[in-house]
Amino acid sequence: MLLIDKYAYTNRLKDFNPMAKMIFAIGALILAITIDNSYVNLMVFLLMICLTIFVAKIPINRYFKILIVPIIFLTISGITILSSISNEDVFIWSIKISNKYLGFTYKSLMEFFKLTIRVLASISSTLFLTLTTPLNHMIGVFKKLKMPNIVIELLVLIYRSIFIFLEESKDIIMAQELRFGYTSIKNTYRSISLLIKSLLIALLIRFQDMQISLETRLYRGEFKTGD
Amino acid sequence: MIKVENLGYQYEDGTIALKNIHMDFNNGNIIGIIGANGSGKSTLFLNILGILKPSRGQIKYKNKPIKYNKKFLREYRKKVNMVFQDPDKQLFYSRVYDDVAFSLRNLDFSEKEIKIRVKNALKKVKGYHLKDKPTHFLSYGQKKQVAIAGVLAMDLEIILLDEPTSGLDPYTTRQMKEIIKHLSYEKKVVLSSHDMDLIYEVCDYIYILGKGELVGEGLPEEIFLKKELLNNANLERPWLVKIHQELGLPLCRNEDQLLSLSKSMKGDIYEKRDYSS
Repeated sequence: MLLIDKYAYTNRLKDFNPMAKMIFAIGALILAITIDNSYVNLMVFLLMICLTIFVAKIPINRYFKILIVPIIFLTISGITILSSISNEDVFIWSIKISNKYLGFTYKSLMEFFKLTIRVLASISSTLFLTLTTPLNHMIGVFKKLKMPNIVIELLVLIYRSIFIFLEESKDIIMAQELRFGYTSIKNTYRSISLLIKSLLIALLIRFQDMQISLETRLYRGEFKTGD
Repeated sequence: MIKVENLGYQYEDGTIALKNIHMDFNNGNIIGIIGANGSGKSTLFLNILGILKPSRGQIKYKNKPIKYNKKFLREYRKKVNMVFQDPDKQLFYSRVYDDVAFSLRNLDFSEKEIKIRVKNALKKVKGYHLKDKPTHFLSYGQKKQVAIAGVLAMDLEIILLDEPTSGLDPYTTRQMKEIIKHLSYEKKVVLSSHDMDLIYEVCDYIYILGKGELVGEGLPEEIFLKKELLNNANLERPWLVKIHQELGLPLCRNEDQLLSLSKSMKGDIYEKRDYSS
């Protein structure tokens, strides 16, 4: 089970009007991207965190656990923005490598802070939406907004398939673990290759079964999602 | 309504899955099909649904052999349909309501009509409270309920159930038994199962498959007395039949019958004691 998905269906804001939540979160996202003001971004970030943690009651340690992945990306790109190389020591902090200097300037530092806060504001807005709004409700909003049926169809099917795939792989991994499949590096490699193989086979079998069951349920080439 | 005549089915690799099968579903209202693993139950169901085309013989619906063109099969499956053993195979949507509505939307029903039908179908399987739940949050038993509702939403004449109680706990199994009985008031039910007790209790006509052939058929209170036949088909007698044959108790159709019988018997014994003292 996906953590994000679980919270989306169990948080305290789950029954709040999804259209309103979506407009609010996307509005904040647009604000964070378009307005070049760190104070506004900081406000957005803090507001979203408060709403998600205190109003929607998402546990604080879980929230930051979810934040870790984007923060890793942020750090990597941050380092590349921050550092530059020069022949002379123009930096506020630097190290000397043979006859060149590697370090960062006051300007790049400011830029880094600005970027970080903007990214955090955007991420927290997106997380607010994903953690408080079940995907099934979002689909309802997309339908109201008259999004093309093919997009909704894809969304519905992908969303369902993710869980079928996760459940299948979870069972296989557990079975492998119970039979010592991940005790050494060599075993791990072998287990992973077996896992991929069995998932592919399971996928093909499921496809076949699905076709049969689609046929019995009078499928005619279109996954209808109603109004 | 459905008759299977001299049906034979052979897979592409040459294995014979079914041979000379004759069945008449007019023989009862809840028809049980039993057989060991690999005896051909599922293949038979797929043949009846027109998914597989028999190599020999034919399936007759309302005394006419079924045709294998799209138009006919579409009309046919509006009346004859099946609930698969593994509910995950037939749940495509992440919202229960949408999934139950799937075949109705394929048939271009209006959303208003769909709402009523979905409600009725979910109520019939005692699952209306699941309406807005995401499919992946359901327990196995609940998934089975929803899968049945998805098929019930169409106005079927015959419903095929492939192992409706496999993997269910005792309470849900009892619930499923009730659902099956209720279904049989308005439509014909054909079910396959490895649960001999279930089959014995709910079905009123039984077919036994063994290695792709029909090895026996008859009323439950007759066919289940044939110990030899059941053993040869790798099956077992229901416990009610066992205590009848081994302990000499009267043959009962269900547990309640037996319990009320034993109560009245106990009453006799106590009364006798009272007189003797």
